Amino acid sequence: MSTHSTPSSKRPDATMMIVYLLLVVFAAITLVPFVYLIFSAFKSQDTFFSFVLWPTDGAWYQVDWDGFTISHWKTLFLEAGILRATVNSFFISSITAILATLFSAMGGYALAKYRFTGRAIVTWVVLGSLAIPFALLIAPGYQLLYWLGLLDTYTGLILPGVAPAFGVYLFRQAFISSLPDALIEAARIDGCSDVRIFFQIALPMVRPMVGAFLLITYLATWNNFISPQIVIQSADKLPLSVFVAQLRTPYGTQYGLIMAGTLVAIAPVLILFLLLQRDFIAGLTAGAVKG
Amino acid sequence: MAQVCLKNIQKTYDGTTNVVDGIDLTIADGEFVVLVGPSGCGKSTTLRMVAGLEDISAGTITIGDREVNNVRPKDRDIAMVFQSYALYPHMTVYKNMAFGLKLRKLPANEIDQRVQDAAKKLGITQLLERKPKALSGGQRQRVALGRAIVRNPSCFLFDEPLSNLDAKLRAETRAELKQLHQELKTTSIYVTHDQEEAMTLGSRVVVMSGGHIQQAGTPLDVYTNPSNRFVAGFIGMPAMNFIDGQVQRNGSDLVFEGGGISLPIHASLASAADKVVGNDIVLGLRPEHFTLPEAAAGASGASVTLGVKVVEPLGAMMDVYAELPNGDRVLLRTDAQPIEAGQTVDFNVAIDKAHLFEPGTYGTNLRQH
Repeated sequence: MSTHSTPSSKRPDATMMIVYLLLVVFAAITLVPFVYLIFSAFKSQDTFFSFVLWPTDGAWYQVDWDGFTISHWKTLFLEAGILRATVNSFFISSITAILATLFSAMGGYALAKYRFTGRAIVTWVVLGSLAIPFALLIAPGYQLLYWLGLLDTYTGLILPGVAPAFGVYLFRQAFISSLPDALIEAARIDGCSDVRIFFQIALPMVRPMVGAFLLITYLATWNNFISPQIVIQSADKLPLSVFVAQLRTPYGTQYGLIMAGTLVAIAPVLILFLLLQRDFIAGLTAGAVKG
Repeated sequence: MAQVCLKNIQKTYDGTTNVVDGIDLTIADGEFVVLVGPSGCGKSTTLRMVAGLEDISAGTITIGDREVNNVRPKDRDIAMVFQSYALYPHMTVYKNMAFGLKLRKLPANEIDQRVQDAAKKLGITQLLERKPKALSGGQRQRVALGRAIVRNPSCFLFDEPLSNLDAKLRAETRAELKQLHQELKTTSIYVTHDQEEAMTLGSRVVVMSGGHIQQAGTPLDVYTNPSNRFVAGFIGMPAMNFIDGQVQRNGSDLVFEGGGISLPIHASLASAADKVVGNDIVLGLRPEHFTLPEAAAGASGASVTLGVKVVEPLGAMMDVYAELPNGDRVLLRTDAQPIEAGQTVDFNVAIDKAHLFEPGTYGTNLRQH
């Protein structure tokens, strides 16, 4: 009788089946709010409170199609001006993500690869600033923007986010682990200036981190509510996060309308994340293993 | 091609630590000089100062007729091969080799010509479209060499380029490097900690320790006439044996007594030994200067009786670890003979090849004084 075991890839055993089942259950639980959101965006005010998911005429499979409506979508796009808010979100998120990635990479590169007086102190200050809660910075940040005359401007919204300490430190670690000094020296001997070394030699070495940080910053800026809430006053400059919140009026709240607005707000970033999730995870773990 | 001149070169860290402490060295046009020494001796720092990758704390470096102390690396007309190869991983082999030429705005056809010529010389034409991660260590080394060759520099700088290769590949690449130098005749400065590499590659070997040059000479010169105990012990494999003792008078003759043995001082050392009679002294004998009585002892032979502890056969030769009467061990290398551990054997000693050193790590070789 052979003592060889059959390859395990052919048939998952009972333990794996239980694990998969649990994973499916938790995945379903995670997806419930999204499913609820999608259905709610197409329900009228009456059916919103009467039915959790789709409106029915009796049994769960007897769908009441009259309970669905596209009036929220018409209101959003034809009256409320969500397109403008969407464009604002794209613009602010894109510019902030690009500038934040660029300046974080530059700052991280300098701290990782240049020797200068005070380097250690600067590194500790950058690291220490991460411990300061964002809430503590709101009031002094607002004051600063006021003094600079940047309230209610795109610059006032973008500028505070273009050199995040978190990004500087992430890139510092990435350059330390992924960019050997010999490569920089070889480039110097080849004739590269410092700027060329940064863009042609250093940045390509941390490409996963660049991609991941772009995505992280883009998502964070897109979802940011507090900063635009306090900095922006003009309706035409509002990003989606604040725009959707302002769909609640003192005269009553159309929940279906808010759900539709929320769906518009999360759809682009959801798609982006699903497309780039591998780079996202690769970038976050890029420095973990020595290459 | 150019002469490279180092005058009183110093490198100080934190204002107190001198890692290079007054190096004077002239490398002639077309010469292949090897800087060799243990880790921390300052050889790589010296090389990096020539390359412009380290600031010079004091002294001057000239390449050709130009002082380059404050000249940027890219303008010194040098090319460097790194221990880790330092190939750009996101570029193909072709682009790695062409990168420096592109930055110098050479015409595209000239760049292509130089890259193809260098690739052909190094046997890597078929690798030009690959990226470094798809290459073996030896192939990467050739690409790094190719990147240096295409520059047609005045001076090549090699920073332990063979350290990451296995022994067989190292030996092969060493021979190829030597052949390449014979073809190109470019002034070359080569840094290594491997004395075998130093002896086989360099037309001149510069032995360094503690930030100083201990001796500079041809490979044969530093081997047969080491200037001090450090050079004697560092150069040569297996290393030279050192026996502490004193020079004494035995009638009209001078003898070395130490380790429980007594050896006559050869006439060539007599006048130097005469000045240190009664002083502590160190006798240096290379392993191959012990021979078995069956082999020709030569006119200047003497003999010692040693207890054999370990025999390591090497084929035609053998290494014998033997014990002096005082318990100190010495290593002998002789023709393979039927000797076994535990035996007591008389060995002939080529006393004309012996050296006498003053005590201490850098004790001067009295043979040269």
